[in-house]
Amino acid sequence: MQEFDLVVVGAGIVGASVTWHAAQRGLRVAVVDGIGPAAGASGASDGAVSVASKREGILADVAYESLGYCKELAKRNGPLAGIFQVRPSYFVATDEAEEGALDALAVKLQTLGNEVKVVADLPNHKAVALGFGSEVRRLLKLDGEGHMLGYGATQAYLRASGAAFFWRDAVIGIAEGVSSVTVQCRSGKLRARAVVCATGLQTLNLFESLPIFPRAGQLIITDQGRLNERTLEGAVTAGSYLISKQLVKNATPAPPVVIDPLETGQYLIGSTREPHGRSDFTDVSVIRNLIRQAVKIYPALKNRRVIRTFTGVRAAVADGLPIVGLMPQHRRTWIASGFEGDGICLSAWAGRAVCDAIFDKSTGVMDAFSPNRFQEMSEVV
Amino acid sequence: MSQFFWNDEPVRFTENDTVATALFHHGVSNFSRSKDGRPNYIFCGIGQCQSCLVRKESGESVEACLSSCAENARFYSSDCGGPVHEQ
Amino acid sequence: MSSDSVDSCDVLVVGGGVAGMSAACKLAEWGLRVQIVEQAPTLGGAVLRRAQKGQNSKLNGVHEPIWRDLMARFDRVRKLISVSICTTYTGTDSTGEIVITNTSTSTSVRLRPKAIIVATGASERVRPRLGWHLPGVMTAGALQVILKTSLRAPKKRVLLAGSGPLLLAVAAQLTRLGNPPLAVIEEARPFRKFWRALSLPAGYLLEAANYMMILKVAGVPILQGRFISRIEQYAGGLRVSITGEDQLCFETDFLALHDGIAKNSYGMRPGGMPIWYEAGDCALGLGARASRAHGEAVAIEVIKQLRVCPVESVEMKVRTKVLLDVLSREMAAQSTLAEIYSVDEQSVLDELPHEVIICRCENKSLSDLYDLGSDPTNREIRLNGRFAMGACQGRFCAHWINMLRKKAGTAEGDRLIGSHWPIKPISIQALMHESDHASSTERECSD
Repeated sequence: MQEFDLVVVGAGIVGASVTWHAAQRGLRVAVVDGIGPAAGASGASDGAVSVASKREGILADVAYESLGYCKELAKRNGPLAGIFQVRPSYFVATDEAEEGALDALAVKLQTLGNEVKVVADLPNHKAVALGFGSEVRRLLKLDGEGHMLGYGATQAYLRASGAAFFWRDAVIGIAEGVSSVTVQCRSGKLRARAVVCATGLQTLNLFESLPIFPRAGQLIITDQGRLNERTLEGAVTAGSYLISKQLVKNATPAPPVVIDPLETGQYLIGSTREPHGRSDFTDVSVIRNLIRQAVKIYPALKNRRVIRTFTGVRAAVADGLPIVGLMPQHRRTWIASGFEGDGICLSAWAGRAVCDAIFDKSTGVMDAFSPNRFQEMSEVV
Repeated sequence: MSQFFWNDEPVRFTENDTVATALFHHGVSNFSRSKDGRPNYIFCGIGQCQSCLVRKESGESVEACLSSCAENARFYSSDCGGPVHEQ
Repeated sequence: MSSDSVDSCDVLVVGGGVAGMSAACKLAEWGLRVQIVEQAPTLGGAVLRRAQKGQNSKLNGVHEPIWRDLMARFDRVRKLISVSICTTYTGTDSTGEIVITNTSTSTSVRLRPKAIIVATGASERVRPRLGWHLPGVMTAGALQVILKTSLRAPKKRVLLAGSGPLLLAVAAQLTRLGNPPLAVIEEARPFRKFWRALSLPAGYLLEAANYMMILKVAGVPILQGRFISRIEQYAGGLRVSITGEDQLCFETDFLALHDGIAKNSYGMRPGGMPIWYEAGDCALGLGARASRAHGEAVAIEVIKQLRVCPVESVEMKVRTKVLLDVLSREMAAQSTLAEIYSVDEQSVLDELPHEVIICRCENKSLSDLYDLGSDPTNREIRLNGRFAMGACQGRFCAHWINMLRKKAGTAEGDRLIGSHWPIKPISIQALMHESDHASSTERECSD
């Protein structure tokens, strides 16, 4: 039996952020994962750290706060130095519905603050002059958003934490006692003051009643272009992507494309939201649609090759909000899961908020994400 | 004898050649013009290693070892971007 | 058949080499419509590569009669077989859809045949060595393709090194074309196991004797028990340092390496449809005779599964037995060859200098791998180390990474390489520009 102050189950980006924040307080932390760092969605995602793509309301508010906090953590000697970069971000419309989404985006940003600003609102001919496709009706350029690859950030938080790692080690059970909680792993027992389950879809293995379900998304990696080729300075998001993140179930006519330029000169192109959890699933017709739309938006892509596709599986929640807080009927077991593709952006906030809640007993805005909300719902029913 | 162009330089080929074998016999010993140190020449010869990539006139990348030669076709070094490594 | 849509084929055969042609002929003989796709501009594969004119390249040696036999059978059923050259199989997705691309026209075709036989031939194993990433270093197989396709030897110096009978074959082919190599540097000591070699089938021994005669007459030294310690650029060419029982140095223009045959199993097994098999060297790595037999054996399985012949057909049972006998004989022969040519690769790997490049595509060295810690997960190796993430998707580095971390042959080792479509890079132009039929090349199949 090993003793710690905190055990974190799940070495994705949220778990890694919780780990680092706890270690910052001088606490002894253990991180357990069935495979290893970023084995789930954190390792199969794009790198956009975007407030613009968040649904307005509490999610956009928290994302805004988290983005600002990322910038602090990315300063020299911070855990995200060299991992998180501020980059311009672009939002495009190729049809009327998408233009509507851009309008809504501009309004949302105005209510948030000065961290993220629209610095250019370009009509078709100006967008084309920048290299965008002739069907792009409107282009918004934002300053203040950022980029951070999930697995890089996960690794960075973990390395800076000095925590004890238990990889390839599944958690079999959690048992709360009077003054501690015991986490039963395949390799042995870990005892701590508290445990945080940042376990994405695997959360269902521990708490099967939580309304978490999988949403898969296919992603594409291209090869590199020529040396000195003009590339995008930041990610391009289609208006239809913003539409697809609303809770309204309308099918969007245009595929919800994100074009993410990587440091290597490759492009990462995503994605879809498919109602299954199969990370081994690839559908060429879906890939082809994403590619066609991406080329429509940024024609320079047509000379690239797709070298690989992969599928990331997000942990989604029925009401579209992550689940962060103390588990009902528990005193030492916390949950931070269900971020559905927003985990990278929200991880900075989540790590700090969870530790504040556990060790300072201060929860604040985290209450909106509490798993108690499902309790109340089921009581009503 | 026919010819195609490699970086705008004429290269002869017979009807038995692929772009790779024609360049090989022409004396080209490296397809790359950049210094980034990554291999850019024939290695596996069967389209798997992706070392022999060259560009068609259209801008697309192709494996030289799988490309047949055509009269007056134009092929170029890939000049691929990416991080530069010291060797 | 050539004017029909490709989609109307019953079986897709990937690869126009011995196994693919053997399978295709058998399938067509049973009335099935077959589409063959071949990625290169000519047929024949590694063993029996044709020159463009469809000629025997004269370097195909003892196996050439196999091709003549296959061509004769092909002629009788050509109405049912469509052949597309410069056409690459990019894989099968999770819905069972297959995409093939024509690299000349940059178009793609999607198809849903009832069955697919992947006969893409063997890959070569080439072990990382210090300086192996330098231009001028290639595989022995690549050199063989150059010789067989272009029918010309380079006018420059060539050195062959590594381990395996292919080195002798390629050395002999170079010699026959007028440019004998500087030497053959063989890591194993096959001549010491001469007595084991006597148990090989006569055909193998004759082939070997033929090669060695050619090399002896040309004065090409075959040095055994020697290893390359370093490859460097020198005076416009390469300087290759050799260790073993002595220290040697060769100055050469080209270095052809070979460390054995690898299976080429990058295809995907979709759940259920279509019926999916691998045939020939990509699955077995046993050479031409086995490939012909295996191609036919696999075709018989497909014929049975498509209910074209009764599963209990006596004729098929008898034939299958004959083919399986061929395969077991070849397997025994390969096993003997492996013994004769055995090299302690694990020791060599464990002593590799840390500067050696392991992942050629992404320029990642052994020290980059060691930086990941003592037991990195597959994700860490790929995402943080950037190994197996480049254009070749781990084909040339994954095996060695698994050996270095002692996970070769394990499930975790196998998963270092992803298995999503596409199995090799596909041009975005081709993906976007669909055609409804592959272009056929009847001319290709006349000898």
